[in-house]
Amino acid sequence: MPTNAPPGLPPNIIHGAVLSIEQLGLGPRTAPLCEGFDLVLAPGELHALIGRNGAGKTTLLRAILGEVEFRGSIRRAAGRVGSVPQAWRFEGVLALTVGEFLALARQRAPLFLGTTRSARAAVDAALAAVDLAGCERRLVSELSGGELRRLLLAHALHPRPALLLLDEPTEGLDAAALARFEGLLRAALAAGSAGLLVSHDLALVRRLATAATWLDGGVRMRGAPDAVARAFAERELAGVDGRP
Amino acid sequence: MSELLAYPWFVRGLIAALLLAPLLGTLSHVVVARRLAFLSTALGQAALTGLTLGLALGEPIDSPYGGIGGFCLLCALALVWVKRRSTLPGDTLIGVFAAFTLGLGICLLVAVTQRFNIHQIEAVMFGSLLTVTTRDLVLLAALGVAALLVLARRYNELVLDSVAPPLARAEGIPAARLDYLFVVLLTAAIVVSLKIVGALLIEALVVIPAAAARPLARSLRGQVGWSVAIALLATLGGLFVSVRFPVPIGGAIVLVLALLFGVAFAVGRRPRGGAGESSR
Repeated sequence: MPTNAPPGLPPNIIHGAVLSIEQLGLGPRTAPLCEGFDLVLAPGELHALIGRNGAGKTTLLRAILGEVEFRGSIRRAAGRVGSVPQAWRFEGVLALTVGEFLALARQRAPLFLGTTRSARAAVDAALAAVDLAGCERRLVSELSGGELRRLLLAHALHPRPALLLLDEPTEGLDAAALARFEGLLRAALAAGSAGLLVSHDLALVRRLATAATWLDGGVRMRGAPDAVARAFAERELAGVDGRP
Repeated sequence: MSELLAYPWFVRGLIAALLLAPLLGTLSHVVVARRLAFLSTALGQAALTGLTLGLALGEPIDSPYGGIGGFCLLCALALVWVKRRSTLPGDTLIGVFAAFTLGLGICLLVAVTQRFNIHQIEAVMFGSLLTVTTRDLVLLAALGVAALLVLARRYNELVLDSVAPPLARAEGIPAARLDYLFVVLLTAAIVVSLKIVGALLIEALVVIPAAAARPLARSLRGQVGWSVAIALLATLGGLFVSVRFPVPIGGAIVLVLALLFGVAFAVGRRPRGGAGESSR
Protein backbone atom coordinates (compact mmCIF):
# COMPACT_ATOMS: atom_id res chain seq x y z
CA MET A 1 0.00 0.00 0.00
CA PRO A 2 1.51 3.34 -0.92
CA THR A 3 0.60 4.96 2.38
CA ASN A 4 1.29 4.68 6.10
CA ALA A 5 4.95 5.45 5.68
CA PRO A 6 6.73 5.92 8.98
CA PRO A 7 8.15 9.36 9.79
CA GLY A 8 11.30 10.07 7.79
CA LEU A 9 10.23 8.19 4.71
CA PRO A 10 9.04 10.08 1.65
CA PRO A 11 5.25 10.10 1.27
CA ASN A 12 3.81 7.29 -0.82
CA ILE A 13 6.77 4.96 -0.32
CA ILE A 14 5.51 1.49 0.25
CA HIS A 15 5.98 0.61 3.89
CA GLY A 16 9.28 -1.18 4.42
CA ALA A 17 10.40 -0.75 0.81
CA VAL A 18 13.82 0.61 -0.06
CA LEU A 19 12.70 1.53 -3.56
CA SER A 20 9.30 1.77 -5.17
CA ILE A 21 8.80 2.49 -8.84
CA GLU A 22 5.34 3.10 -10.24
CA GLN A 23 4.22 3.43 -13.85
CA LEU A 24 7.72 4.34 -14.99
CA GLY A 25 8.14 5.47 -18.57
CA LEU A 26 11.59 5.91 -20.15
CA GLY A 27 12.62 7.36 -23.49
CA PRO A 28 10.48 9.50 -25.78
CA ARG A 29 6.73 8.88 -25.65
CA THR A 30 6.71 8.11 -29.39
CA ALA A 31 9.35 5.35 -29.02
CA PRO A 32 9.58 4.48 -25.32
CA LEU A 33 12.24 2.14 -23.94
CA CYS A 34 9.67 0.98 -21.42
CA GLU A 35 6.28 2.13 -20.20
CA GLY A 36 4.23 1.30 -17.13
CA PHE A 37 7.17 -0.29 -15.27
CA ASP A 38 6.48 -1.11 -11.61
CA LEU A 39 8.90 -2.47 -9.03
CA VAL A 40 9.09 -2.63 -5.26
CA LEU A 41 12.37 -3.57 -3.56
CA ALA A 42 12.38 -4.65 0.07
CA PRO A 43 15.52 -4.92 2.24
CA GLY A 44 17.55 -8.00 1.40
CA GLU A 45 16.24 -8.28 -2.16
CA LEU A 46 18.45 -8.19 -5.24
CA HIS A 47 16.45 -7.73 -8.40
CA ALA A 48 18.22 -8.50 -11.66
CA LEU A 49 17.46 -6.67 -14.90
CA ILE A 50 18.37 -8.64 -18.00
CA GLY A 51 17.83 -8.02 -21.67
CA ARG A 52 19.52 -7.13 -24.91
CA ASN A 53 21.66 -4.04 -25.42
CA GLY A 54 19.44 -0.98 -25.68
CA ALA A 55 16.56 -2.52 -23.71
CA GLY A 56 16.73 0.31 -21.16
CA LYS A 57 18.44 -1.44 -18.23
CA THR A 58 21.15 1.17 -17.69
CA THR A 59 18.70 4.00 -18.43
CA LEU A 60 16.47 2.68 -15.65
CA LEU A 61 19.36 2.84 -13.17
CA ARG A 62 20.20 6.35 -14.38
CA ALA A 63 16.58 7.40 -13.91
CA ILE A 64 16.73 6.22 -10.29
CA LEU A 65 19.80 8.45 -9.82
CA GLY A 66 17.98 11.37 -11.43
CA GLU A 67 20.35 11.50 -14.40
CA VAL A 68 17.65 11.11 -17.08
CA GLU A 69 14.08 12.32 -17.34
CA PHE A 70 11.28 9.85 -16.77
CA ARG A 71 7.51 9.58 -16.46
CA GLY A 72 5.81 8.05 -13.43
CA SER A 73 7.28 7.97 -9.95
CA ILE A 74 10.48 6.68 -8.36
CA ARG A 75 10.68 6.84 -4.58
CA ARG A 76 13.66 5.90 -2.45
CA ALA A 77 13.68 5.39 1.28
CA ALA A 78 16.22 7.40 3.24
CA GLY A 79 19.73 5.98 3.25
CA ARG A 80 22.87 5.79 1.23
CA VAL A 81 22.91 4.70 -2.42
CA GLY A 82 25.91 2.69 -3.59
CA SER A 83 26.41 2.76 -7.34
CA VAL A 84 28.71 0.86 -9.68
CA PRO A 85 28.28 2.49 -13.10
CA GLN A 86 28.86 0.50 -16.26
CA ALA A 87 31.11 2.69 -18.36
CA TRP A 88 33.20 4.90 -16.14
CA ARG A 89 36.77 5.75 -16.96
CA PHE A 90 38.90 7.96 -14.79
CA GLU A 91 40.22 11.15 -16.36
CA GLY A 92 43.94 11.34 -15.61
CA VAL A 93 43.95 15.14 -15.33
CA LEU A 94 43.93 14.97 -11.51
CA ALA A 95 46.61 13.17 -9.49
CA LEU A 96 43.94 11.57 -7.32
CA THR A 97 45.13 8.65 -5.21
CA VAL A 98 42.97 5.64 -4.40
CA GLY A 99 42.71 6.76 -0.77
CA GLU A 100 41.76 10.32 -1.75
CA PHE A 101 39.15 9.06 -4.21
CA LEU A 102 37.37 7.08 -1.49
CA ALA A 103 37.76 9.91 1.04
CA LEU A 104 35.89 12.38 -1.22
CA ALA A 105 32.51 11.07 -0.08
CA ARG A 106 33.67 10.20 3.44
CA GLN A 107 34.81 13.53 4.86
CA ARG A 108 33.52 17.09 4.92
CA ALA A 109 36.88 18.80 5.33
CA PRO A 110 38.31 19.80 1.93
CA LEU A 111 40.59 17.09 0.64
CA PHE A 112 43.36 19.55 -0.29
CA LEU A 113 43.95 19.93 3.46
CA GLY A 114 44.51 16.17 3.76
CA THR A 115 42.51 13.08 4.68
CA THR A 116 40.90 13.08 8.12
CA ARG A 117 41.59 10.25 10.58
CA SER A 118 38.03 8.91 10.48
CA ALA A 119 37.94 9.00 6.67
CA ARG A 120 41.29 7.16 6.57
CA ALA A 121 39.91 4.40 8.78
CA ALA A 122 36.84 4.07 6.54
CA VAL A 123 39.03 4.03 3.42
CA ASP A 124 41.29 1.31 4.87
CA ALA A 125 38.27 -0.86 5.70
CA ALA A 126 36.74 -0.37 2.26
CA LEU A 127 40.01 -1.21 0.48
CA ALA A 128 40.66 -4.27 2.62
CA ALA A 129 37.21 -5.62 1.73
CA VAL A 130 38.04 -5.65 -2.00
CA ASP A 131 41.61 -6.87 -1.54
CA LEU A 132 43.16 -3.48 -2.35
CA ALA A 133 44.67 -2.95 1.10
CA GLY A 134 47.89 -0.96 0.88
CA CYS A 135 46.92 0.65 -2.43
CA GLU A 136 45.69 3.94 -0.97
CA ARG A 137 48.72 5.89 -2.24
CA ARG A 138 48.49 4.58 -5.81
CA LEU A 139 47.09 6.93 -8.45
CA VAL A 140 43.61 6.02 -9.67
CA SER A 141 44.81 6.74 -13.22
CA GLU A 142 47.37 3.94 -12.91
CA LEU A 143 44.98 1.17 -11.81
CA SER A 144 44.22 -1.71 -14.14
CA GLY A 145 40.66 -2.26 -15.40
CA GLY A 146 39.94 -4.93 -12.78
CA GLU A 147 41.43 -2.84 -9.96
CA LEU A 148 39.33 0.14 -11.02
CA ARG A 149 36.23 -2.06 -10.86
CA ARG A 150 37.18 -3.21 -7.36
CA LEU A 151 37.69 0.41 -6.33
CA LEU A 152 34.15 1.18 -7.50
CA LEU A 153 32.85 -1.80 -5.52
CA ALA A 154 34.69 -0.57 -2.43
CA HIS A 155 33.08 2.85 -2.90
CA ALA A 156 29.62 1.36 -3.41
CA LEU A 157 29.65 -1.18 -0.58
CA HIS A 158 31.28 0.83 2.25
CA PRO A 159 29.62 2.07 4.33
CA ARG A 160 26.77 -0.36 3.75
CA PRO A 161 24.22 1.28 1.45
CA ALA A 162 20.43 1.04 1.74
CA LEU A 163 20.20 0.68 -2.04
CA LEU A 164 22.75 -0.74 -4.47
CA LEU A 165 22.67 0.02 -8.18
CA LEU A 166 25.05 -2.38 -9.91
CA ASP A 167 25.59 -2.07 -13.65
CA GLU A 168 27.75 -4.91 -14.94
CA PRO A 169 29.68 -4.85 -11.65
CA THR A 170 31.79 -7.93 -12.36
CA GLU A 171 33.13 -6.86 -15.75
CA GLY A 172 36.91 -7.31 -15.73
CA LEU A 173 37.09 -9.08 -12.36
CA ASP A 174 39.25 -12.19 -12.05
CA ALA A 175 37.93 -15.33 -10.33
CA ALA A 176 39.23 -14.40 -6.88
CA ALA A 177 37.83 -10.86 -7.07
CA LEU A 178 34.51 -12.22 -8.34
CA ALA A 179 34.23 -14.62 -5.39
CA ARG A 180 35.07 -11.80 -3.00
CA PHE A 181 32.47 -9.52 -4.62
CA GLU A 182 29.79 -12.19 -4.29
CA GLY A 183 30.62 -12.61 -0.62
CA LEU A 184 30.48 -8.86 0.01
CA LEU A 185 27.20 -8.50 -1.85
CA ARG A 186 25.62 -11.39 0.04
CA ALA A 187 26.76 -9.87 3.33
CA ALA A 188 25.28 -6.47 2.38
CA LEU A 189 21.96 -8.06 1.41
CA ALA A 190 21.89 -10.12 4.61
CA ALA A 191 22.45 -6.91 6.57
CA GLY A 192 19.42 -5.28 4.92
CA SER A 193 20.62 -3.63 1.72
CA ALA A 194 18.52 -3.99 -1.42
CA GLY A 195 19.84 -3.86 -4.93
CA LEU A 196 19.23 -3.70 -8.64
CA LEU A 197 21.68 -5.72 -10.71
CA VAL A 198 22.17 -5.26 -14.44
CA SER A 199 24.28 -8.05 -15.88
CA HIS A 200 24.77 -10.09 -19.01
CA ASP A 201 26.31 -12.81 -16.85
CA LEU A 202 23.25 -15.06 -16.45
CA ALA A 203 25.10 -17.47 -14.15
CA LEU A 204 25.80 -14.56 -11.79
CA VAL A 205 22.12 -13.53 -11.95
CA ARG A 206 21.06 -17.09 -11.07
CA ARG A 207 23.48 -17.25 -8.14
CA LEU A 208 22.80 -13.87 -6.57
CA ALA A 209 19.43 -12.41 -7.56
CA THR A 210 16.24 -12.99 -5.60
CA ALA A 211 14.06 -12.02 -8.59
CA ALA A 212 14.58 -10.95 -12.19
CA THR A 213 12.93 -8.91 -14.92
CA TRP A 214 13.55 -9.40 -18.63
CA LEU A 215 13.28 -6.02 -20.34
CA ASP A 216 12.41 -5.95 -24.01
CA GLY A 217 10.42 -2.85 -24.98
CA GLY A 218 8.91 -3.04 -21.50
CA VAL A 219 8.59 -5.95 -19.07
CA ARG A 220 8.77 -9.13 -21.15
CA MET A 221 8.92 -11.51 -18.20
CA ARG A 222 9.33 -11.29 -14.44
CA GLY A 223 9.84 -14.00 -11.85
CA ALA A 224 12.42 -16.29 -10.33
CA PRO A 225 15.94 -15.61 -11.69
CA ASP A 226 16.33 -19.17 -12.98
CA ALA A 227 13.16 -19.12 -15.03
CA VAL A 228 13.67 -15.61 -16.44
CA ALA A 229 17.34 -16.20 -17.27
CA ARG A 230 16.51 -19.53 -18.96
CA ALA A 231 13.73 -17.99 -21.05
CA PHE A 232 15.98 -15.10 -22.10
CA ALA A 233 18.89 -17.42 -22.94
CA GLU A 234 16.66 -19.70 -25.01
CA ARG A 235 15.30 -16.76 -26.95
CA GLU A 236 18.80 -15.43 -27.55
CA LEU A 237 20.13 -18.82 -28.67
CA ALA A 238 17.21 -19.29 -31.00
CA GLY A 239 18.10 -15.99 -32.59
CA VAL A 240 14.44 -15.05 -32.77
CA ASP A 241 13.43 -11.45 -32.42
CA GLY A 242 10.74 -12.55 -30.02
CA ARG A 243 8.67 -9.41 -29.95
CA PRO A 244 4.97 -10.22 -29.87
CA MET B 1 64.45 44.91 -4.57
CA SER B 2 64.42 47.20 -1.52
CA GLU B 3 64.35 50.33 -3.68
CA LEU B 4 61.37 48.91 -5.56
CA LEU B 5 59.45 48.63 -2.29
CA ALA B 6 59.55 52.42 -2.08
CA TYR B 7 57.14 52.57 -5.04
CA PRO B 8 53.47 52.17 -4.01
CA TRP B 9 52.54 50.70 -7.41
CA PHE B 10 55.14 47.96 -6.94
CA VAL B 11 53.95 47.16 -3.42
CA ARG B 12 50.36 46.96 -4.72
CA GLY B 13 51.53 44.64 -7.49
CA LEU B 14 53.38 42.47 -4.99
CA ILE B 15 50.32 42.19 -2.74
CA ALA B 16 48.15 41.38 -5.76
CA ALA B 17 50.59 38.64 -6.83
CA LEU B 18 50.51 37.12 -3.33
CA LEU B 19 46.69 37.20 -3.27
CA LEU B 20 46.19 35.88 -6.81
CA ALA B 21 48.36 32.78 -6.49
CA PRO B 22 46.42 30.82 -3.83
CA LEU B 23 43.07 31.79 -5.38
CA LEU B 24 43.84 30.87 -8.98
CA GLY B 25 46.20 28.02 -8.09
CA THR B 26 43.47 26.32 -6.03
CA LEU B 27 40.73 26.96 -8.57
CA SER B 28 42.82 25.82 -11.52
CA HIS B 29 42.77 22.07 -10.97
CA VAL B 30 38.98 22.11 -10.57
CA VAL B 31 38.81 24.12 -13.82
CA VAL B 32 40.77 21.47 -15.71
CA ALA B 33 38.93 18.59 -14.00
CA ARG B 34 35.57 20.09 -15.03
CA ARG B 35 36.91 20.79 -18.54
CA LEU B 36 36.31 24.52 -18.27
CA ALA B 37 39.64 25.74 -19.67
CA PHE B 38 37.92 27.05 -22.79
CA LEU B 39 35.25 28.73 -20.63
CA SER B 40 38.01 30.74 -18.94
CA THR B 41 39.07 32.06 -22.36
CA ALA B 42 35.47 32.86 -23.20
CA LEU B 43 34.99 34.71 -19.91
CA GLY B 44 38.15 36.72 -20.57
CA GLN B 45 36.67 37.77 -23.92
CA ALA B 46 33.32 38.48 -22.26
CA ALA B 47 35.19 40.72 -19.81
CA LEU B 48 36.35 42.87 -22.71
CA THR B 49 32.75 43.18 -23.88
CA GLY B 50 31.59 43.88 -20.32
CA LEU B 51 34.21 46.60 -20.03
CA THR B 52 33.05 48.34 -23.19
CA LEU B 53 29.41 47.96 -22.15
CA GLY B 54 30.15 49.44 -18.74
CA LEU B 55 32.08 52.34 -20.27
CA ALA B 56 29.31 52.98 -22.78
CA LEU B 57 26.87 53.16 -19.86
CA GLY B 58 29.03 55.70 -18.05
CA GLU B 59 31.19 53.58 -15.72
CA PRO B 60 34.61 55.07 -14.78
CA ILE B 61 37.51 53.40 -16.64
CA ASP B 62 39.60 52.92 -13.49
CA SER B 63 36.88 50.86 -11.80
CA PRO B 64 34.89 49.01 -14.45
CA TYR B 65 33.79 46.11 -12.25
CA GLY B 66 30.03 46.56 -12.72
CA GLY B 67 30.12 46.08 -16.48
CA ILE B 68 32.77 43.35 -16.44
CA GLY B 69 31.34 41.42 -13.50
CA GLY B 70 27.74 41.76 -14.59
CA PHE B 71 28.31 40.72 -18.19
CA CYS B 72 30.69 37.86 -17.35
CA LEU B 73 28.28 36.51 -14.76
CA LEU B 74 25.36 36.77 -17.16
CA CYS B 75 27.33 34.91 -19.85
CA ALA B 76 28.54 32.19 -17.46
CA LEU B 77 25.08 31.52 -16.02
CA ALA B 78 23.45 31.61 -19.47
CA LEU B 79 26.04 29.15 -20.76
CA VAL B 80 25.41 26.66 -17.95
CA TRP B 81 21.65 27.04 -18.45
CA VAL B 82 21.93 26.30 -22.19
CA LYS B 83 24.48 23.51 -21.67
CA ARG B 84 22.16 21.69 -19.29
CA ARG B 85 19.38 21.81 -21.88
CA SER B 86 21.38 21.02 -25.01
CA THR B 87 22.80 17.87 -26.51
CA LEU B 88 25.70 19.84 -28.01
CA PRO B 89 29.11 19.34 -26.34
CA GLY B 90 30.20 21.99 -23.87
CA ASP B 91 33.14 23.24 -25.95
CA THR B 92 30.87 23.82 -28.96
CA LEU B 93 28.48 25.92 -26.88
CA ILE B 94 31.36 27.84 -25.30
CA GLY B 95 32.64 28.53 -28.83
CA VAL B 96 29.25 30.00 -29.76
CA PHE B 97 29.19 32.20 -26.64
CA ALA B 98 32.80 33.29 -27.08
CA ALA B 99 32.22 34.29 -30.70
CA PHE B 100 29.08 36.24 -29.79
CA THR B 101 30.64 38.12 -26.89
CA LEU B 102 33.81 38.96 -28.85
CA GLY B 103 31.80 40.16 -31.84
CA LEU B 104 29.67 42.35 -29.60
CA GLY B 105 32.75 43.60 -27.76
CA ILE B 106 34.56 44.60 -30.96
CA CYS B 107 31.50 46.49 -32.22
CA LEU B 108 31.13 48.32 -28.91
CA LEU B 109 34.87 48.99 -28.69
CA VAL B 110 34.75 51.18 -31.78
CA ALA B 111 32.06 53.32 -30.16
CA VAL B 112 33.79 53.48 -26.79
CA THR B 113 37.27 54.39 -28.09
CA GLN B 114 35.82 57.62 -29.40
CA ARG B 115 35.49 58.64 -25.74
CA PHE B 116 38.51 56.87 -24.18
CA ASN B 117 42.15 56.40 -25.02
CA ILE B 118 42.68 52.89 -26.44
CA HIS B 119 45.71 52.47 -24.15
CA GLN B 120 43.44 52.70 -21.11
CA ILE B 121 41.46 49.75 -22.48
CA GLU B 122 44.67 47.90 -23.34
CA ALA B 123 45.51 47.86 -19.63
CA VAL B 124 42.44 45.73 -18.99
CA MET B 125 43.08 43.52 -22.00
CA PHE B 126 46.73 42.72 -21.23
CA GLY B 127 47.11 43.64 -17.55
CA SER B 128 48.93 46.59 -16.00
CA LEU B 129 50.73 47.20 -12.74
CA LEU B 130 50.30 50.93 -12.83
CA THR B 131 46.51 50.95 -12.91
CA VAL B 132 46.04 48.71 -9.83
CA THR B 133 44.55 50.73 -6.98
CA THR B 134 44.18 50.02 -3.26
CA ARG B 135 40.45 49.59 -3.91
CA ASP B 136 41.26 46.86 -6.46
CA LEU B 137 43.35 45.06 -3.84
CA VAL B 138 40.59 45.26 -1.23
CA LEU B 139 38.13 43.81 -3.75
CA LEU B 140 40.62 41.09 -4.74
CA ALA B 141 41.21 40.15 -1.09
CA ALA B 142 37.52 40.20 -0.10
CA LEU B 143 36.19 38.30 -3.12
CA GLY B 144 39.20 36.00 -3.20
CA VAL B 145 38.77 34.94 0.43
CA ALA B 146 35.01 34.52 -0.04
CA ALA B 147 35.55 32.40 -3.18
CA LEU B 148 38.16 30.23 -1.43
CA LEU B 149 35.86 29.68 1.57
CA VAL B 150 32.98 28.60 -0.67
CA LEU B 151 35.34 26.41 -2.69
CA ALA B 152 36.66 24.76 0.47
CA ARG B 153 33.11 24.03 1.63
CA ARG B 154 32.08 22.39 -1.65
CA TYR B 155 35.49 21.13 -2.71
CA ASN B 156 35.02 17.38 -2.21
CA GLU B 157 31.64 17.45 -3.94
CA LEU B 158 33.07 19.42 -6.86
CA VAL B 159 35.95 17.00 -7.33
CA LEU B 160 33.75 13.88 -7.10
CA ASP B 161 31.24 15.44 -9.50
CA SER B 162 34.11 16.26 -11.89
CA VAL B 163 35.81 12.85 -11.95
CA ALA B 164 32.84 10.50 -11.39
CA PRO B 165 29.45 12.14 -12.08
CA PRO B 166 27.46 8.88 -11.62
CA LEU B 167 28.94 8.39 -8.14
CA ALA B 168 28.21 12.00 -7.26
CA ARG B 169 24.56 11.48 -8.24
CA ALA B 170 24.43 8.34 -6.06
CA GLU B 171 25.76 10.38 -3.13
CA GLY B 172 22.96 12.90 -3.68
CA ILE B 173 25.29 15.68 -4.84
CA PRO B 174 23.24 18.18 -6.90
CA ALA B 175 24.90 18.52 -10.31
CA ALA B 176 23.03 21.63 -11.44
CA ARG B 177 23.74 23.58 -8.26
CA LEU B 178 27.46 22.73 -8.47
CA ASP B 179 27.61 23.73 -12.14
CA TYR B 180 26.16 27.15 -11.39
CA LEU B 181 28.16 27.58 -8.19
CA PHE B 182 31.49 26.86 -9.81
CA VAL B 183 31.03 29.22 -12.76
CA VAL B 184 30.07 31.97 -10.28
CA LEU B 185 33.29 31.30 -8.32
CA LEU B 186 35.33 31.23 -11.51
CA THR B 187 33.75 34.44 -12.77
CA ALA B 188 34.44 36.20 -9.45
CA ALA B 189 38.08 35.05 -9.52
CA ILE B 190 38.54 36.15 -13.13
CA VAL B 191 36.95 39.56 -12.62
CA VAL B 192 39.11 40.47 -9.62
CA SER B 193 42.27 39.25 -11.40
CA LEU B 194 41.72 41.13 -14.64
CA LYS B 195 43.58 44.33 -13.88
CA ILE B 196 46.78 42.41 -13.14
CA VAL B 197 46.70 39.55 -15.62
CA GLY B 198 44.53 41.04 -18.35
CA ALA B 199 41.28 39.83 -19.89
CA LEU B 200 42.87 38.05 -22.83
CA LEU B 201 45.50 36.22 -20.76
CA ILE B 202 43.53 35.21 -17.69
CA GLU B 203 42.98 31.68 -19.02
CA ALA B 204 46.67 30.95 -18.48
CA LEU B 205 46.47 31.45 -14.71
CA VAL B 206 43.41 29.25 -14.27
CA VAL B 207 44.67 26.40 -16.46
CA ILE B 208 48.48 26.20 -16.56
CA PRO B 209 49.18 25.88 -12.79
CA ALA B 210 47.15 22.65 -12.52
CA ALA B 211 48.43 21.36 -15.87
CA ALA B 212 52.05 22.01 -14.88
CA ALA B 213 51.49 20.53 -11.41
CA ARG B 214 50.08 17.24 -12.74
CA PRO B 215 53.37 15.56 -13.77
CA LEU B 216 54.99 16.66 -10.50
CA ALA B 217 52.26 15.48 -8.13
CA ARG B 218 51.73 12.07 -6.53
CA SER B 219 48.40 13.02 -4.92
CA LEU B 220 45.58 15.53 -5.29
CA ARG B 221 46.82 17.36 -2.22
CA GLY B 222 50.28 17.54 -3.79
CA GLN B 223 48.78 18.77 -7.06
CA VAL B 224 46.98 21.63 -5.29
CA GLY B 225 50.21 22.51 -3.46
CA TRP B 226 52.22 22.51 -6.68
CA SER B 227 49.48 24.52 -8.47
CA VAL B 228 49.60 27.26 -5.85
CA ALA B 229 53.42 27.25 -5.84
CA ILE B 230 53.55 27.48 -9.64
CA ALA B 231 50.94 30.27 -9.67
CA LEU B 232 52.99 32.12 -7.02
CA LEU B 233 56.25 31.71 -8.95
CA ALA B 234 54.52 32.93 -12.10
CA THR B 235 52.87 35.99 -10.57
CA LEU B 236 56.04 37.03 -8.71
CA GLY B 237 58.23 36.17 -11.70
CA GLY B 238 55.92 38.09 -14.03
CA LEU B 239 55.98 41.06 -11.67
CA PHE B 240 59.78 41.25 -11.68
CA VAL B 241 60.05 40.69 -15.43
CA SER B 242 57.56 43.49 -16.11
CA VAL B 243 59.52 45.80 -13.81
CA ARG B 244 62.85 45.03 -15.51
CA PHE B 245 61.64 44.93 -19.10
CA PRO B 246 59.06 47.03 -20.95
CA VAL B 247 56.43 44.30 -21.18
CA PRO B 248 52.92 44.14 -19.70
CA ILE B 249 52.68 42.11 -16.50
CA GLY B 250 49.98 39.80 -17.92
CA GLY B 251 52.20 38.72 -20.80
CA ALA B 252 55.17 38.28 -18.47
CA ILE B 253 53.14 36.05 -16.11
CA VAL B 254 52.03 33.88 -19.01
CA LEU B 255 55.60 33.52 -20.29
CA VAL B 256 56.82 32.43 -16.84
CA LEU B 257 53.89 29.98 -16.61
CA ALA B 258 54.72 28.52 -20.01
CA LEU B 259 58.34 28.12 -18.94
CA LEU B 260 57.29 26.37 -15.71
CA PHE B 261 54.96 24.09 -17.67
CA GLY B 262 57.85 23.13 -19.95
CA VAL B 263 60.13 22.40 -16.99
CA ALA B 264 57.44 20.34 -15.21
CA PHE B 265 56.76 18.38 -18.38
CA ALA B 266 60.46 17.67 -18.83
CA VAL B 267 61.23 16.59 -15.27
CA GLY B 268 57.85 15.16 -14.22
CA ARG B 269 56.50 11.61 -14.32
CA ARG B 270 55.23 10.13 -17.55
CA PRO B 271 51.82 8.40 -17.39
CA ARG B 272 52.09 4.68 -16.71
CA GLY B 273 49.03 3.95 -18.83
CA GLY B 274 46.67 2.22 -16.39
CA ALA B 275 43.14 1.45 -17.53
CA GLY B 276 42.03 4.47 -15.56
CA GLU B 277 43.97 6.86 -17.74
CA SER B 278 41.95 8.14 -20.65
CA SER B 279 41.44 11.20 -22.73
CA ARG B 280 38.00 11.83 -24.03
